[in-house]
Amino acid sequence: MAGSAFAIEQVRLAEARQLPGPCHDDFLRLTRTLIHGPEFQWLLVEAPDEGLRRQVMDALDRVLQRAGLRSDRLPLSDKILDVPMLEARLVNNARHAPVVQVIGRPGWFDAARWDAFNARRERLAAEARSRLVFWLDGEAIALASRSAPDLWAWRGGVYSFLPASAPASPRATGVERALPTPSPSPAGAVDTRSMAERSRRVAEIRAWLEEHPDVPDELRVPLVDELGRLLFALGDYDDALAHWREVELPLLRRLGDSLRQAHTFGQIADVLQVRGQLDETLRIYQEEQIPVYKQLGDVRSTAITKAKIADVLQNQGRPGDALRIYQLEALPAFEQLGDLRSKAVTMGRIADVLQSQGQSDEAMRILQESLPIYERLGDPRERAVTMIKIADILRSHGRQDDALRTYREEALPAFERIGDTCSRAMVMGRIADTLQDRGHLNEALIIYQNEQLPMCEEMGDIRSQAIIKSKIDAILQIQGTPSL
Amino acid sequence: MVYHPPSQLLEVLQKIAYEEPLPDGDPRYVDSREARGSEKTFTRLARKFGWDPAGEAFFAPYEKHILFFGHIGIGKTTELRRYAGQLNGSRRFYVVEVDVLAKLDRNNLQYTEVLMAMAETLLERLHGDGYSLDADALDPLQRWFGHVVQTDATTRELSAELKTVAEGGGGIPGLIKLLATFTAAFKTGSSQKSEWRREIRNDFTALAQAFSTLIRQAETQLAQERRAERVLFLIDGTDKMRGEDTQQFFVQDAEQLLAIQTLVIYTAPLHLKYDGRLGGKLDADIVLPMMKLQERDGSPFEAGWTTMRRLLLLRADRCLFASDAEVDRLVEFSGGHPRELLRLLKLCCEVADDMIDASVVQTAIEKLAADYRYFLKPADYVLLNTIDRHPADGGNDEQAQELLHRLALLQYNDGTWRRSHPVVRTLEGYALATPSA
Repeated sequence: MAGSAFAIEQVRLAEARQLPGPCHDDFLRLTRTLIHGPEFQWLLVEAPDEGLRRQVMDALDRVLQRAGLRSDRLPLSDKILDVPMLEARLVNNARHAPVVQVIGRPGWFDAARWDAFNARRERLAAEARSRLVFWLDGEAIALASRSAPDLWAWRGGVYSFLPASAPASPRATGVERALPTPSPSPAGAVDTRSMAERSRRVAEIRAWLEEHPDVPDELRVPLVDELGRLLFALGDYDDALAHWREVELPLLRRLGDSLRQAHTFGQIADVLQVRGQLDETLRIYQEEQIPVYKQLGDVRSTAITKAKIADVLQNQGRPGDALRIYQLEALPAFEQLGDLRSKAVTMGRIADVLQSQGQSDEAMRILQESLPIYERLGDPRERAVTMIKIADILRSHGRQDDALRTYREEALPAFERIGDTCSRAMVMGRIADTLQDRGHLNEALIIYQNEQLPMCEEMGDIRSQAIIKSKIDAILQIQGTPSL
Repeated sequence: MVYHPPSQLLEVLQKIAYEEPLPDGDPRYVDSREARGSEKTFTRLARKFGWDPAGEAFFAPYEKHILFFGHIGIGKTTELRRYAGQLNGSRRFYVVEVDVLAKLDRNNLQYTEVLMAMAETLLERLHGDGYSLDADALDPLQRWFGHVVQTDATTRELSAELKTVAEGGGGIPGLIKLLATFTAAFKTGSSQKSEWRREIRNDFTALAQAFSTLIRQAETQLAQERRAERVLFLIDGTDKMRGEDTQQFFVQDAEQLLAIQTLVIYTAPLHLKYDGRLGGKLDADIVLPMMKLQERDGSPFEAGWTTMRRLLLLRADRCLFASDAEVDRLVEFSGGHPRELLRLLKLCCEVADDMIDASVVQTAIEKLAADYRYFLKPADYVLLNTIDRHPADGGNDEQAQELLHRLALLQYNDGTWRRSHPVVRTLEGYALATPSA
């Protein structure tokens, strides 16, 4: 089954990044036209190095599988005696595979065979309605362009996968690759690059670093740092962890840059926390980061790390310890620094802990105190998130009308204004849940079916779709209507 | 319904298919006559068939076989379909479009099977449009088949039903079925193909006369119904035959084509016009020119730019381009060649994240240029460079023809001047071939 568009794109980019740098862009081009291009295409791929060709083909298979496109391989072996036999095999394979990959053999396609293939092209287009990918060497492609110009004019595209260390090919420019310009997004700044741009940048940096193994460490640091952040941003956590541990930390140790080392450890800990390795996360925060920040007198980084320690403790089921750190260490530090945003975020965390301990009145009081801060900062999104938390507490107090009003009049318009579809879907779900609490099953059903479910389908959020469908089923069962 | 060009890159990509010409009436069609400098091409063509579109004067020649030349992928079929629509609409002509690529096997295609496909398509059209022909009209063709089926080779392959047709029964539907049996055998490469071809060749004069008689009878019928005065065949796909078949068909077998006394347009590859072997038997005057973006002296030709911009923006909504500059740059580097413009657009769609900006366009140009590296040799760059500096020095030798055929060299104004493809001029080989000042 095909994955969501987002999932396919992630796999496509991840596979591209695993290939040698020079292959990245053409792999993205090839996969895009295979997945999104017309049903029939004749594509030529230059891949003279067998090892690299296999690597690219395997990566391609994984992407096509995620996209739900079956791919057949058709090697030009001794069993395929001539072009009519190739034509028959292509037609046959195309009946059940939307992608047919012909693996060429040096010398199989001579001028006469290209001519014969050219003579069959319209028939192939009519009878082999698939994407036909021909993996060839440069000589075979050149011969096609010389021997069968009509066929050449008909090509859907030419893609090239040459090993990075290949001798200068006729396609290489011969110009030495320039140092990639460091990313303009130091830690903390907003990186507005798209996934594809980031992926391309990963390939660019990797290629440059491979080509320049002897470059001074000072020159490597910004690129190595950016590479780690890019891998993390792309969700490539294994690669990011390996990069930070095996490349970046040793580099920073060589340079004696303890502050950057602490930051890098922090990035590692963030990933470990997401993966549930909380003990190691805690150790890194406490042993690798806090001592360095304290030694350097970096109050802000210390406070942020303290707040992160509290997050971990809360996740470990130690709310008392978490609350103590939030209230006695992080919050005062942010107040002292005048860091309003971090202060408001910490207040939200405190409210969460209090609510989990059943102190919902105190939690609501703190949340209400944080609202003016977000208003002052001009942050409608965080304000709306806080309003949802307040409405959740109201709902838990049995004040459904007040909760509904808050969801509808405070949270929903804010998410609509900023175009946050995901949060809007979440609020719609909360409204439907509240209506269901009050016994308004029809209204709840309409929202689940007509509002929340389509939004989650559009976003490709399969988990939420399953939850919403189960809620719809439950209502339909109560109403005695056949379920979905 | 109003047509809107796709406004998503992936939708644009999905809809780019080079191998499919636009049908008549397709909303993506752009009138390119002014841009090609071909405002008079249709008029010239129509006049060769005896009709003046402006003055309504009409006096058709008894027979006329015209070759319609053009570069690969510049829209010959698309234009011809428009022409066919106009010729049909005049009610002077009953245009019968024969797509030889669909009906026959382009591999080893000869005049014998083209004639069969012409007869089959004419009868299909007449039958489909509700016209019937007297038994007398069908008689010569049936008698010819009746003679041929007496040979062993043919008899073995024909069913009893078709033998009956060949002996004078079945009317138009029966004759269509009989002809279809032959064309299908030619298309699928039946074992009888060579023998049937030999039979037809041996008795071709009689067949050509029988077919010509059928055409005359059809014209009489069409005139009586005030539908048209002449049948006009449009043979598409003959520009895409194999090299040796092209020579055989248009040069060696030209007399056989002329033996069918009717009005015909054949599509033909541009290089055939210039290789000097046509010998004046077939009318070889009409070339569908490339759209030009500049005059020979280098001054811009605005009509070309306007048309190519429109063509591009009917395939991809303007909102997909960062600015007009990207649209213009793609047009500029297409050299006025529609398929090359679509190829550049496809490359943009493959490369762009969400918007076609300057860097995407630059990458597309570099990628397309890289395709030309596969076949261009140092001597080719030298010739291209020479032609660009002195358009009159292009020559017409095999090297120049091959460059024309492969689009590295583009030809404008019916061949009065030529210029290298703009993407080729970005290649190092071209720069190296430029004499230092």
